Amino acid sequence: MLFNSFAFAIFLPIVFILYWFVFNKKLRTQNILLLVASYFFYACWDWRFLFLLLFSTALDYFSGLKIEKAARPATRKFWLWLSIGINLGFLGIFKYYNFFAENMSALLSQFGLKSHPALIQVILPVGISFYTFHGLSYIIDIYQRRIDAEKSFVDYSVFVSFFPLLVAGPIERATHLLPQIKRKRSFDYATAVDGCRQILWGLFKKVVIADNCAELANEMFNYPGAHNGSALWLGALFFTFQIYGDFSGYSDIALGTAKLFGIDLLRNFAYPYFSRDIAEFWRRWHISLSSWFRDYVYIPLGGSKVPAWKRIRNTFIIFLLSGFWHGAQWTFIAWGAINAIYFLPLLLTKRNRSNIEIVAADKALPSLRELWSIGITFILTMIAWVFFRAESIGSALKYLKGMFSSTVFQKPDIDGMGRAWIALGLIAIMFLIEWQGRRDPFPLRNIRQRSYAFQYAVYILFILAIFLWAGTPQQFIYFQF
Amino acid sequence: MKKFLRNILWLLLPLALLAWPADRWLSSRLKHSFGMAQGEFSVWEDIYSAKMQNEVAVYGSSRAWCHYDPEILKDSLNAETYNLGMDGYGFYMQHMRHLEYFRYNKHPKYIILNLDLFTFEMPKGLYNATQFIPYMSHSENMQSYMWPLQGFTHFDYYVPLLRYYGRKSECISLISDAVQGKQSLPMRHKGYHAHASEWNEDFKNAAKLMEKYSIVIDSPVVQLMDRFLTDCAREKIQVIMVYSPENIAIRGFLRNKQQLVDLYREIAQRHHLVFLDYSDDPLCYDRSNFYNASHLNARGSRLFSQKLGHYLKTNGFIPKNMAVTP
Repeated sequence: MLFNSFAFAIFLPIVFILYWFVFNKKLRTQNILLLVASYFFYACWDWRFLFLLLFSTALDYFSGLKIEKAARPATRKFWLWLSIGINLGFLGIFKYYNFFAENMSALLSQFGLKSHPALIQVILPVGISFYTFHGLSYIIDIYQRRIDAEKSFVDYSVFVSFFPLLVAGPIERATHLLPQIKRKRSFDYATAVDGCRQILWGLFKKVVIADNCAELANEMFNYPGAHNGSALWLGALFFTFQIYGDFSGYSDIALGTAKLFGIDLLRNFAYPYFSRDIAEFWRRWHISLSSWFRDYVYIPLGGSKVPAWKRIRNTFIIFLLSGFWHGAQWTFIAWGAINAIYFLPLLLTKRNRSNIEIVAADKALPSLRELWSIGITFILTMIAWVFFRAESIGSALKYLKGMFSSTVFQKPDIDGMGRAWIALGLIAIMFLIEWQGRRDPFPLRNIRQRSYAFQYAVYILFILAIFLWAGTPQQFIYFQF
Repeated sequence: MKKFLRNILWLLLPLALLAWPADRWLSSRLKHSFGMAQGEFSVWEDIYSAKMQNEVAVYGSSRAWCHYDPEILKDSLNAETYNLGMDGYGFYMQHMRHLEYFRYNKHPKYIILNLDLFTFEMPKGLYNATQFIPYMSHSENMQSYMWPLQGFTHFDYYVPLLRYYGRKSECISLISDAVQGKQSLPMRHKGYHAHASEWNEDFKNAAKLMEKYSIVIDSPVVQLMDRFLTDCAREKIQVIMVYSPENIAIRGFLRNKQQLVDLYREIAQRHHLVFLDYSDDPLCYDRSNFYNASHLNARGSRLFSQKLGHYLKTNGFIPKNMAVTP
């Protein structure tokens, strides 16, 4: 069930009404409803993988209790590693087994050894990377005595499976979400309206921006040889906005939906394309994943409070892991490595935290210097996205070669340039709205200060835009991760 | 909570109320947008007007609608002819059109069934789906044939306006035509459209991308054709199976064409029908007859229609029960 489907438009109001009108007497029944709704939502993708989700949930739930109860450190460690091992084992089998098997076979063939590894022909369970990371953070937090183990299986299951975040995040922390699940929730008008606004904005980004950009980006990336350099730059630009619109749009819909149930999820995006350097970009892009790697990998490795060579090592580890988390392909690893290379100079010169606040926080426009920094960061990011989007490293290099060829000065040879102009216009509109609302968690939030008539007109306009300007429906990119 | 629900209702109710008349208006405009959807609306409108009186009907894909000139066939055969060729679809969807045609109109005496490389391929998704929008909510045949194919969700059949979701070019074009008072002229005449273009690079580009093509033969579609031919025989409708000319450039591109042709011959023999195979006709060797490897242009279709009409006429229209190479 896609967030931008009519099925979801029916599902959501039904759950909302049951939640606030039928099961509102007791917190426990509300949580049971959320769990049933979440499993139904998940089963709409593929009901068979529901068992995997249940198993993973039960494993972490019982491991958490065992860790908490164990008196001996060795026993605690045993349950921690058992849970981590099984969770990562599932992830490894479903997501990475074929990658390792094929690459090992290719490596052996370099030494003249022939091997024909058995490959697994199975689809990747949707959301496995997200719910596995939920479970891991929970177990590690218990082990490090940051939190107590959750006693209620239902509440813990809702934490793992809450439908707005189940298939594509944000990756929640038990410290943030579990207390909300355990607390009596009451309906708050302002929060619910805010949630609706955020859903509307998320739908606009996904359906209007991402899906329209996808049509054009696909043309360039599928046949890079058939286009000149300027068209390939446009293709990279369209993909840059496709992935932003797609993923941040999904996150906005997830956050807005959660607000309708009185639950506040972690913010996942904070206007990343207004970043002035790569370090700031990574503090604003997929925040829940970046902070997960920071807290559970980077800091345990020593973080930045270690000698320079270790800082370099740690940086590469988290960026490569981040790339690999996205998928078992060399292109994702290359994307991670490129971002690490972008990031290192800032880290080594201790300028990685020089841009914390949003750009031009107290001004209407950025300074020329800020504009320049934003532009350079954006272009670097766009070049890195080429690796993320390409089918292989070879295709990415071919694409980049085309982008930097002499044909870059020619008129873009895109079939039906009108579509490209329209997409650019839509991107410009989104950019302006985001710039205007950059001080708020999402740009439509600041509309609440305006008159009702203005708000009403804006909502209608957005609904019509979503209806009329929707591109060819595309699967959310992050569902594959 | 009440305030929230009331405000949501105030926002969505006017839109919901407008959805039905908007759907009706767009659909009525779309039906008469004869230039859209490869001109398919004129054929659908002729079918649903229930006034088709032709004795000869041509079935097939795009290779039918641009290869068979109904006026030439009418002159040769002295029988009213209509071309029901359906762009981009094999026999599965052609059969859906056949059912709709038979449901509303006088049945023909003869059906020229044009066969090609994709006849037995089951479509995975809907191609040129816009053509179905105005009719899909009330045509049972459309619903049952389109249901298994990707393109529309189940809600699209019943919820007003939903099927127009994301069809910005169509909606904008309909609104702008209405504002300007434009009436679109039919692209097709009796279902036929002559392509006045010269040979282009379509095939070269496709060959570059695909290297070699394996023809797909889906057995449910073969069974469907068997059923169709049996039904026609029961109604005493003479079916003539024709493989119309295709340029020789396509030959090296195909892996298993002979298997397909053998199957066509076998089906023809099983149902005691004539199978006319023009895939090695002299027309196939001259690129000036084509605009791409599998489609005749206006010149080619004129020559082919004359040739076919002449053959059918000189052979008494209902030739002997045998497979022949004319």
